Amino acid sequence: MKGLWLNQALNDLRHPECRAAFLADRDAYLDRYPLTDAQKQLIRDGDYGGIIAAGASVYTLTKLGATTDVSLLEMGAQMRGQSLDEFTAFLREQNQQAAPFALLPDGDTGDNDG
Amino acid sequence: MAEIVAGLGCSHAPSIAHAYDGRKTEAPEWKPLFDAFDRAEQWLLSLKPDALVCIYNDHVDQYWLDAWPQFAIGVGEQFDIADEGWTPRKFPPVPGHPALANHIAEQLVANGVDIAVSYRQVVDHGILSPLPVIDANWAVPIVPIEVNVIFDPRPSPARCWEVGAQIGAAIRSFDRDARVAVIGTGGLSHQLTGPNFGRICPEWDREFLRLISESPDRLRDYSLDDFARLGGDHSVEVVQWMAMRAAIHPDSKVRFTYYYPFQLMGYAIIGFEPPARQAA
Repeated sequence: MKGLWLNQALNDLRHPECRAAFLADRDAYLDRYPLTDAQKQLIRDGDYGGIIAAGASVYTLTKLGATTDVSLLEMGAQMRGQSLDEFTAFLREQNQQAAPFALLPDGDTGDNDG
Repeated sequence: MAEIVAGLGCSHAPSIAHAYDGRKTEAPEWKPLFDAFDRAEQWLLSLKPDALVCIYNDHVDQYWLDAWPQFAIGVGEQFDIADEGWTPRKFPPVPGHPALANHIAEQLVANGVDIAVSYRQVVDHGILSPLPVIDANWAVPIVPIEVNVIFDPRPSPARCWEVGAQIGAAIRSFDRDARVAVIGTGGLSHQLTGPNFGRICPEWDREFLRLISESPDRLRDYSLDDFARLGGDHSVEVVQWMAMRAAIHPDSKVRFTYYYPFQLMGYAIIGFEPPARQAA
């Protein structure tokens, strides 16, 4: 499987001791796994699209974000090639365009600007 | 014999858990969704279910790549709360229903669905994001049934429908007076990778809600690639809604449909009641 060890290194961050080890000495943590230098560099760089392209599942990638306190929105903005502000503006516009499709209990309008 | 008293389809997402844990359920942007969950919870608990059979997908929190099951069922006494990287959410373990779960496992394997059995299991946001808003106090034990929507090869939507039908038959053959609700979690549209990250597809979501309500068997003609094209790569979780719909009575009627397209997700909740209940 492409990215097997990449997924392993990311998903082990479910364990608090692995998160602590990663945050204390990232390179030493990455050296525990048979990763290529390129894979290690993607993690060091926080290149989220690159990590996915190298074979990681988005559901193991989210453990890295949880560890380094990078939100899914921030990861998403980077994958889109946008700043967080640009991505937020996109979502606000998308919310407005989607609002007429909402089906909600009485009294809720779904009218929000996100 | 056991009776299926309800079918429920609902989204799952870390965002639901974060809004709940961050006490944002009354915030203007989240209130519409949590009000809808409130309605669903009142209805669901009014039916006094004895078990919730939750068809969901794991997000690499319970299962791992040493053996990734296509379908799996949890038969344990209880399920611990997964640590998805943020430390486990502050809930007690969720009670299981070993008698019903073992019966379903036996019936599935006897009838051509070679499901993996988890004797020890954690549950992640695939169940835990909606569960606190549809059964706040863990009043009802759960039977988790996992579907692989993540790693290829994956079961087709038609296969998920067949397995759902077998799950329904297995529940109905459980030799106890038990009232069972079947829940399918996941979806609707979302895309969590690539240049279209964050795109939602409200027109398709509404069409999916119409199909699952009015002519669910037509969904068997869709492939995973079709769902990915129409609703985003990660919307394929709707196969869990299909399994739920196949498990309940085919003439079940929609009690309510809620849809809230917001930020990264087309959030949806739908409730079905079987014909006997409509007459009651």
